[in-house]
Amino acid sequence: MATIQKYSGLAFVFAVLSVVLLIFITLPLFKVLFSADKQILLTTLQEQEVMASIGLTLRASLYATITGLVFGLPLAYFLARYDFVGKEFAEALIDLPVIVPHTAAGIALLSVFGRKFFLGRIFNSWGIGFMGSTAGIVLAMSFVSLPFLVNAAKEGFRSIDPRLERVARTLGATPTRVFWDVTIPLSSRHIISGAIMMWARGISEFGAVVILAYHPMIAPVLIYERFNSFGLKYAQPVAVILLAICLIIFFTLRVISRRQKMY
Amino acid sequence: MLDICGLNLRLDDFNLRDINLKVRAGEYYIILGPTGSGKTVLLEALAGLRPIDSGQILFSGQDVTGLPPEERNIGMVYQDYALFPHLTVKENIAYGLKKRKMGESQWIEAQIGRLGEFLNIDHLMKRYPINLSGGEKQRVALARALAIKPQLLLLDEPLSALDRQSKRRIQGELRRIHKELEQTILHITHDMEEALSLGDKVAVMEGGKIVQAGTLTEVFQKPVNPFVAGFVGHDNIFNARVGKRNGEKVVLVDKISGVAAAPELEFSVSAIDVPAGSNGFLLIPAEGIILSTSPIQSSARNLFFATVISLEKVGIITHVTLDMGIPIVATITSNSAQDMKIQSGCCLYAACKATSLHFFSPPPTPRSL
Repeated sequence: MATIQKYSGLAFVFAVLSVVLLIFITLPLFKVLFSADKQILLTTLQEQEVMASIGLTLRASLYATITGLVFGLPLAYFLARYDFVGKEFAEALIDLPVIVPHTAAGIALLSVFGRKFFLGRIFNSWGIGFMGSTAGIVLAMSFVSLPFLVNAAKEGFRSIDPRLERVARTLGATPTRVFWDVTIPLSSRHIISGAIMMWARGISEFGAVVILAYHPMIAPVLIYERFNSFGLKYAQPVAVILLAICLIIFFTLRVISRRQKMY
Repeated sequence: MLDICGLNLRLDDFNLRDINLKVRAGEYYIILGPTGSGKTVLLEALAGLRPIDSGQILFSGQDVTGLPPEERNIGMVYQDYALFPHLTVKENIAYGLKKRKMGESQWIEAQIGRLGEFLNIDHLMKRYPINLSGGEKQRVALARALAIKPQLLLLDEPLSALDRQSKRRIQGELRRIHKELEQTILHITHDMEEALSLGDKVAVMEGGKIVQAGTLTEVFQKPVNPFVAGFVGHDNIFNARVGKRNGEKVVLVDKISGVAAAPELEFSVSAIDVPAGSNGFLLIPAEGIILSTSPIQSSARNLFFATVISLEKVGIITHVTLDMGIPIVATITSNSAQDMKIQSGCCLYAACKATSLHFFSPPPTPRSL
């Protein structure tokens, strides 16, 4: 006769499978962190080129995230609050960058923002070129990482009772005021976590960026180049440094955003 | 004060059709209707939160149909309070005062203090809504709406999320707001008892239309159609007044038929909170009536002689229509109806406990302005 147990056989199987998965994610990351040649790691840390490239990566992804906030929050708000023709289509479009191969995304961006298309020429006439420039890196990072921010913000907006916004209107606030006073504070946690995800995703982007801008070299491209020209031994220290910086930033920001109140 | 003329509003799955309503300044107006009859949509249209397709909304003769909510002077209280969770009680109440730039910070401070005292929430000012009970939240929501001194206060089912005790207390607050602040109130509900204990006037809504509007007496005594009758009259309601017998307050209802040994029926009702001479309504729940073939000795002090007019068996319960000087419906189990061999024409005793009866005294109609 079966007895009632705190943990069933099913729970045991699930637990084992879960642990396998978590090990699969963490083991390679931590292995690479601790297996780099210490001597080469130290010299790499002092290399101007490596530090400049990591700095560029963090900065470019930050610009991409800020652009994402300016254009992405309004879209997320529309998707969360209004019903309109083609809404489902718009929601599907937003997820598109996640599923297309990122090198293909890079080619696609090049065809629009390159000098052969009018849009690229317009920007070029304003002095903004996307080929081999920081602007190009920001563009590529934005394209592939926007869904993370928009979807998180959309969830945040959707979780707010629209009656809170309506009451604020009756109390004398204009729609703009209501957005800043009620909507943004109540969805701040979703927005912050979406922005962190977008930033992190931007930092890790390789495929789209490498098509638009091999130079100036962002860290993932630098890792690839060193691997190709000098082999694993010299690529590894750069990977370790980038990984360590990413993990530290990611955990710090997550801890900070956990402190934000949930409503 | 409020004048709605021919309002039409079309939504995807629902329409408000040709709504006409007049609310006078200082009036407590109840809109009564079942869930889905369009009450909340109507309130939101009045607040300017939903555009209307045709018709006019006038506040004190001024056309506000096209004005956005922030330019109409209305206060809104939702059923689930809709307090801003990221602001303290004080900041919630201050919100409207600040947005409308109603005065200097000192004046705002004083205003909040007065409201806090009036609604007995001054000890809660620093708390966040999540740490308040339902009744407290509702008082804060009322304070926030009243702070902007609205011409019209809109209440969307303000009592339905509350437990019995808080409900009574908030009802008391609403009466005070109406009387002491002379606030014009439009209150929507599906609960007839709220209408009876608070309203001056009532409009009944069904399927996006107002099917009947008038004073409580008109609507409860002369429902215009079976829907209204079914909605407002599922229990026994009679015009009544408070009298005195042996120093105790009793409720008197005029007889309209039967042997007239006495012209009126006298009921003992517990907890009458108005003085003798007050007029109102007596509600006798159909389930609260005990029938017997011989006079019963029990705690039920109200015992009447009655004639059975008709019976209607609905599964395990039976509705018995009786004449005891007033027509009254009693609901008993079909088993006991059978045991007592009740049939039309037979004579019975009907009893009801003083605690199962309710006397409602509507607030006196304010002078018209």
